[in-house]
Amino acid sequence: MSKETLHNIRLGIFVMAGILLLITGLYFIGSNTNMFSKTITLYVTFKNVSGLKAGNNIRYAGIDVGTVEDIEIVNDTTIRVKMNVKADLQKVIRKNALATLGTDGLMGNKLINIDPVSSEGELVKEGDELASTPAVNMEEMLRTLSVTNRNVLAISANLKTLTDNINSSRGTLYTVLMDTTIAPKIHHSLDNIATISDNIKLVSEDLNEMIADVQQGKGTVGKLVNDTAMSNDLVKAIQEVKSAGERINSSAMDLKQVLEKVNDGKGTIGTLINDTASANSLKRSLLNVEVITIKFNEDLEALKHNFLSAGILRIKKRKRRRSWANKSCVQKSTSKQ
Amino acid sequence: MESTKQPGPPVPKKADPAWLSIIPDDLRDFLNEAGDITRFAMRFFREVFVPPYEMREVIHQCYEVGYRSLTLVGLTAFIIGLVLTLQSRPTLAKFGAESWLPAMVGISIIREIGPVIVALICAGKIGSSIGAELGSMKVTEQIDAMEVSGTNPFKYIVVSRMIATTLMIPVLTIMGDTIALCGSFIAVRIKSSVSFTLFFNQVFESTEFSDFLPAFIKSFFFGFAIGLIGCYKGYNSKKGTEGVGESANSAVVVASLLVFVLDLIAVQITEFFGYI
Repeated sequence: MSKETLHNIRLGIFVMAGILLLITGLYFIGSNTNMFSKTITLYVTFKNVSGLKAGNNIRYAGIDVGTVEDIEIVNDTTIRVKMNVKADLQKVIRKNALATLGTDGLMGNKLINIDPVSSEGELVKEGDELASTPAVNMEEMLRTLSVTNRNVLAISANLKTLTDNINSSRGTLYTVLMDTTIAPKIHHSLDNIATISDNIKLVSEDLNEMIADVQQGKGTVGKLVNDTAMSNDLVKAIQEVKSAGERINSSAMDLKQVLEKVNDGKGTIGTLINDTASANSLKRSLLNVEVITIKFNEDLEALKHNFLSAGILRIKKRKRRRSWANKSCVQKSTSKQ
Repeated sequence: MESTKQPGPPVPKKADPAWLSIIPDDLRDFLNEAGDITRFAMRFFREVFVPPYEMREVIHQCYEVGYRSLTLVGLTAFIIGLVLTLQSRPTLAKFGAESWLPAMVGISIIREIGPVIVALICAGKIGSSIGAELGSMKVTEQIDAMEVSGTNPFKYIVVSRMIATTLMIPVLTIMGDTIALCGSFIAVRIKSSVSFTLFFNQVFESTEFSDFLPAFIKSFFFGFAIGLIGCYKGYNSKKGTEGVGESANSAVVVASLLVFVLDLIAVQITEFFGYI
């Protein structure tokens, strides 16, 4: 092989390697801008695109799926962004997906995030327009942060005053914070609280068991809750109590009428209560009856000691004793059985 | 009828215009040389499209300019990529942006450092080589001998070399960029565990055609400028051995300077078209 041919081969390898590297580099750069893949065009409208430029990335669920092709000002409040998205994503992106302006990192390039929503929707087609949500405005965020900073400053100043007061006054809070003997007490209190909570736990467990029993129909309350027959009886009982109450009510009404009549002095009792003359004559009659009964007792004592009636009384007494003895024998035999 | 031409009185030399005396001598020499180089370049464009084409010589010069410069260019590019990454790392680490290192170094190499460093290395190696070679040919009257033998020395010597530099510098630039990125990857791997795939993904994610194409196009102009200055300086070398050394030296200096001037113009044009 001549020297010239060898040189030519070396040169050929050198140039081919250079061209290969050029093509590879162009392919990798082009693939990032979806130059060599099939794409579909989607549109989204914003009020403010915050520095978005043609060529910025489109992300779907955090994955780069396309680039911004063009940005068009439609009117003073509408900016329409034309997006080139990989055609494969047509099977995934739905019409109700939301497009949001975002940033790649804290200080990176602007980009559009397409976020899927949970509800069902139709799949996108060529030329569809997606809904957008307003982007977080950095300046607005900084303004809010400035207000927050001022508030934090005021709070820290107040806190400083408060801690100074606590230190200087040596009051209750200072004692609570600085007194070393309080810690064991708090510890003891916490132990007590733990014990109480244990007890509450036990009680709640018992209560749970009880409720379970009730639900299973055990015990009186369980039957009351679960037994339908008993509940019917209860309903009946309540109805009876109700009707008894009604009757008592009507009786009370009658009684009220009677008492009103008595108060008015109508009838015998009314006369007795309200008429003082009748009351006096009644007293006299009762005194006469008392005198008569005393005299009658005296007559009966005299009759006992009379010889004619004493024999008859003795016979009657004997008959009465016999009948009592027979009754006691019958009672003993029935109790044994 | 026979006419005999009688020698007339000597034609008086045309006087220099008055405004020329206002210009300082150094500036006048500079402008004179600039005009001469422009005429030389225009002669190249006139000759390049006219047959016969010296393809064998063009291929030979491509081998000399391209293939034989690869080692030097590769080594330089590798070191530049490595050093640039190591030097950039502490500054980015201060901002907690070390993950941006591949992207930053990638864009720097592809946009600017790769083409300019390769052009400067080639200006040094190829420019001086062409200047010295053509200068010695001029001094030893080989160029005059070619003219006498009926060969167009400009086409054979100048056009072939200028085509070779114009075509080979872009190829060397692509190779230099690739080797510099490999050097950068090694520098990144020294301090952190970034995979080869992730490194090149990060480089190409942040690179666009607007980064690559202007740099690639300007490398053709760098190659043309190196060939033009080398050939001009050698072709117009002064007589004597001093002239050879001077033409080689001035070829390197002017070619390097022209590379920077072209780079400046390229940046302005790129900015004008909105690629920055």
